[in-house]
Amino acid sequence: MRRRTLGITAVSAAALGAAAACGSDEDPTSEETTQSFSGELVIWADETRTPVLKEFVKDFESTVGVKVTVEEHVDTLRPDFLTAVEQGQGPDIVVGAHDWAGQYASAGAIAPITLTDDQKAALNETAVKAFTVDGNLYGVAYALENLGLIRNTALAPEAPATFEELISAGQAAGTDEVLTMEVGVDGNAYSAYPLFSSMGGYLFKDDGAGNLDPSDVGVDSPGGIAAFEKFAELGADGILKTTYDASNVIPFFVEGKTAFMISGPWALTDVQGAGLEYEVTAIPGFEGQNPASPFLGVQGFYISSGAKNAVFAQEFVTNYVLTEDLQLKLAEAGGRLPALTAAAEAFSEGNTDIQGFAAAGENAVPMPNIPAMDSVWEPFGRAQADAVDGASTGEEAATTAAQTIRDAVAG
Amino acid sequence: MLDQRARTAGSTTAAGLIVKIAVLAVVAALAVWAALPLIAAEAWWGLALEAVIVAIVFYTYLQSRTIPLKYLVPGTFLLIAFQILPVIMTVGTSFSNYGDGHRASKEGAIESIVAAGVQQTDGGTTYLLAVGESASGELTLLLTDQADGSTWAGTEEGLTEIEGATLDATGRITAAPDYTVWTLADLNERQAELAELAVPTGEDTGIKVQGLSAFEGRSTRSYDEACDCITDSATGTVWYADDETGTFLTEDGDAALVGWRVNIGLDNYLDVVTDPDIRGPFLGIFAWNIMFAAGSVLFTFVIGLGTAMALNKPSMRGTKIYRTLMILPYAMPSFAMLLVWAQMFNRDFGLINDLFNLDVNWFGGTWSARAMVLIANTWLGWPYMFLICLGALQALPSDSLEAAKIDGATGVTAFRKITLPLLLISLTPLLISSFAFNFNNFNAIELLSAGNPFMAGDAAGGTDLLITYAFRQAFGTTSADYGFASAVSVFIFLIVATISAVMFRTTRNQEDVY
Repeated sequence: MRRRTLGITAVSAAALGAAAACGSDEDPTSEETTQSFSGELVIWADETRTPVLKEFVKDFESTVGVKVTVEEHVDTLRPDFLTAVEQGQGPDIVVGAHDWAGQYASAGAIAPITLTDDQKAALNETAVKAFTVDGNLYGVAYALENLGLIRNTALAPEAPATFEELISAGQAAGTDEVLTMEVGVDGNAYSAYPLFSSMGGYLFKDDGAGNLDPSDVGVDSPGGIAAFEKFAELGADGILKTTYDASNVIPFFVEGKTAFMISGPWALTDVQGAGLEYEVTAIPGFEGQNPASPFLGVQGFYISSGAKNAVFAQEFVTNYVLTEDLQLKLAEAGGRLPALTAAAEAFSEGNTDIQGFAAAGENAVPMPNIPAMDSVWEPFGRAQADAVDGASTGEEAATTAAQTIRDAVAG
Repeated sequence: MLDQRARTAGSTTAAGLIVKIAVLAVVAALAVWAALPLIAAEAWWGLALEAVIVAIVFYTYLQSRTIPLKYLVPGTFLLIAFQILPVIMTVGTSFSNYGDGHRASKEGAIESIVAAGVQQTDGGTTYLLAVGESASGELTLLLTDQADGSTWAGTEEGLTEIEGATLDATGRITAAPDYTVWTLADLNERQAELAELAVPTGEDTGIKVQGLSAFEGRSTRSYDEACDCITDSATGTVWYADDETGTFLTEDGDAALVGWRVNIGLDNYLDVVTDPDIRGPFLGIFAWNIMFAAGSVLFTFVIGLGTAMALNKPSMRGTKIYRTLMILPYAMPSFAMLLVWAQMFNRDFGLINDLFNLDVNWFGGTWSARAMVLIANTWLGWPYMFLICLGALQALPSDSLEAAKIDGATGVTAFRKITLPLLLISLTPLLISSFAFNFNNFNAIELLSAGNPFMAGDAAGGTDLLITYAFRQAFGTTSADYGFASAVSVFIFLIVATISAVMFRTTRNQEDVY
C-alpha cells in the first residue's frame, strides 16, 4: 500500500514534468522552463538543512514549475517565523522541530495538515503523534533524533545493562569522570529525562492516546520524587555534576577523560574526528526500574497559516516531503534517522551508529509539544541542578519544581 | 590639476552640489521604493507621513538659509525612528496581554480555531485535483477518485460525475468535455478564487483542497456572531469569547488553543506592584541592580584612576608598554571575554578554583556569583576609566597643584583637596553614564552568570538585573509574555531616567561650587 502511494507520487511528478516541458520550446531542464510562471514558494530552514533542501527543491521546481526559494535562518528561526507571520509576512513553509508545534498552533501561525491513511502508515507512528496538537496534525516529519549512550569501547568493552553497571564500569575504567552528560548550572531537563523516566517520573499525564493533560503534572509523583532523589544521590557521589555543560561534555569524552557519554547524533562528528572506537547503545535504566526513555525530537515541515502560495505549499509538504529520496538526503546531511519507515530501513542498513540511536529510541516518547511544556524546562532544570548540587534534597527539589510548573501552567 | 581648477573656480560648492544632488536623489529613490508597497496596501496615512518627511528633507537642503536645521533634521528623524518610536511601542505593548497564546487578532483566532475543526470524514474519499472552468465560466474542481478512478466535477452545488474526461498517467484530469482545465500557472495565479470555493457533499461535509489533491472533510466548528461563541458540533463544546482576557473559554473555564491580543489596561503594572510573587523578586533585583551598577563604577574608577596616576608620574618608565597592556581587556570583544570568564569560574574545571586551590561554587551561591560578575565586569571596565582618567589628569591645570604645594599640601591632601575635585568636574558626567550603562549591562550578566543562582522555584536569580529579568520574561525558555516584559522595561526606563536626572542636577550644583 505504502509503496503504491510513493509510486503514484513519483509517476505524477514525472508526468507533470513532461507536460510542463511540452508547453515550452526551450530545453526542459533550463531555468527558464522551470520559471514558466511567476509563482514562488518560500521555505525557511536552518543552516544544516538549507543546502540539502536547495538541492532537492530543484526536482519540485522542474516538475511543477513553481520557483522555490530556500532561505537560511541561523539560530533565531523559531521566533523569526512567529514574528513574520504576525506581520502577515514570512515563508509558505518552515522547517523545524516538533515541539514548536504547540506554540505555533496556539499563535495561529500554522495550518493543520491532513495526510491520507496510507501516508500516515508510511511514517513512524511516534513522529505523527509528535506533530499532533489538540487532535490535529500540524507538521510532516522527516527526521528523528534522541539521546543515546556513547561508549568508548577501548575503556569499557561491554555495554552496561543497568545504570548501576554503567557506574561501576565507568569507575573501573580509571578515568577522571565516570560519565558525562549535560547538566549545567541551570540543569537540563532534556538530558535528565531518560533517568527521570526510568525511576517512573512523568511530566504530564498521557491519556493513552498521546494527548497530554497539562493540569496533571507528575514531577512530584512518587516516581518523580524518587528520580530527583536519585539525582541528589548521583550528585553527592560525584557521578553527575552541574559543571558538566555543553562546553565540556563532548571534549571530555573525546579526550578519553570518561568512558561514557549520554549525548545525541550531533556528538558523533567530533567523536569520529578524534578516531575513537565507540559504540552507540540504549541508555540503561536503573536496576529493577523502568527502562530509560529519552525524548524523541522530530524534525518536520510546517505550513504557514498565512502562506501566500498555499496550494503549492500543501502539495510540497504532503507529497514531496514524503518521498524516500528527500528523506534519505536529509538523513545523510544530518545523520538522523528518517521519519519515513522505508527510508529509515534503507538508511540504517549497515549504519551501526544509526542502529544504536534507533535502539536507544525504542522507548522514546515524543518531547511534549503542548504550550505548557514551555513552563517545564526552566523549573525542572533548576530543580535538577539543585538536587545534584545538594542545594536541596531530592524531594524538596521535585515538589518546588512541580509547584512552579503548576503555577505557570495555570497562568 | 583638477583639484586646483576646482578651487580657482570657487567650486567647493560645485562638488558639494553634486554630493547634495546625489544624496537627495537617493532619498527620492528610497521614497519611491517605500511608497509603492504603501500604495499597494492602501496605507494612505503612511503615505502622507512619508510625503511630509520627504518634503521636509527636500525643503531643508534645497534652500540656503537655516544652516542649523540641516544638521538637526537627520538627527531628529533618526532619533524619532530609533529611540522615541520604540519607547512608544514598548509603552503600548505594556498595556496588552501580548505573548504566547495571545499573538493573533480575534479574527485570526476564530479562523484558526474553526480551521482546526476540519477533519477528514471517516473512510472519506481522497481525490487528485485539477481545476477548471465550465462553459459558463463557473469555477469547478475536477476530481479523480483515488480509489476507483471515477471522475467528478465539484461546484458550489455539489459533486456531479463527469464522463469522458481525459486522464494523465497519474489519473489527474487533463481535459474534460465542456470544461477548460487550468494549467498549473493558471492555478498559481488564481488560487485566491479557489480558496473561496466551497464544494458541499452533504449537510456538513465538503471537499477540502490540499495541494493538488482533495479530500472529503467535515467542518465541525462554527462561529456565531450573535453569542460571540464557537460551537464544535462533534464534541458539543461551546467556547465563549472573553474579550477581557482575549480567550475563548468553555463554561468550565477551559480555554481554546488560540487566544488573541487585547488591551488589559494597567494589569501588567499592577502585577509588578501588587503581586507578592513578582514584587518580592522585583525589589530584590532592584537593590542588587543598584549595587551592581554602583560597584562596577566604583571599582573600575578606583582601579582606573590609580593606574592612571601611576602612569602619569613623570618618573615612571616604560609607560607606553604599560598603556598598551592595560588597554588590552578593553580592546578585546567583551562577548568573547565574558564567555571565557564563565569558563574560568567553573567550579570543578575552571582556572580560578584551580589556580587558587579554591572550591567555591561560583555560580551556586548568591554572593559568590555576585562577586564573580563584579570581578569580571571590573576587569572589562577599568581600562575605559584608566583612559579617561589619564586624559583628564594630563589636562589638569598645573598651577593649582603648584599653588597647593607652596601652601604645604602634598601627597594625599593635595590629591583629596585639589586633584580629585578637579577631576570629578570633568569626569562626573562620564561616571553617571557609566552607571546608567552598567545598570542595563545585559551582556555582563546574561553571558556570564545568566542570572544564576536561582533559588528553588524563584523566577529571579541572585545576579539578575532588571533588564535580564525582563528579557527572560519576554524571550526566555518559559512562554513569552511581551506585555509584562514591556511593563518591566518601562519601569527600568523610569528608574534610569530618574537616577540620571537627579545625578546630573547634583553635578550642576557641584560645578557652581568649584
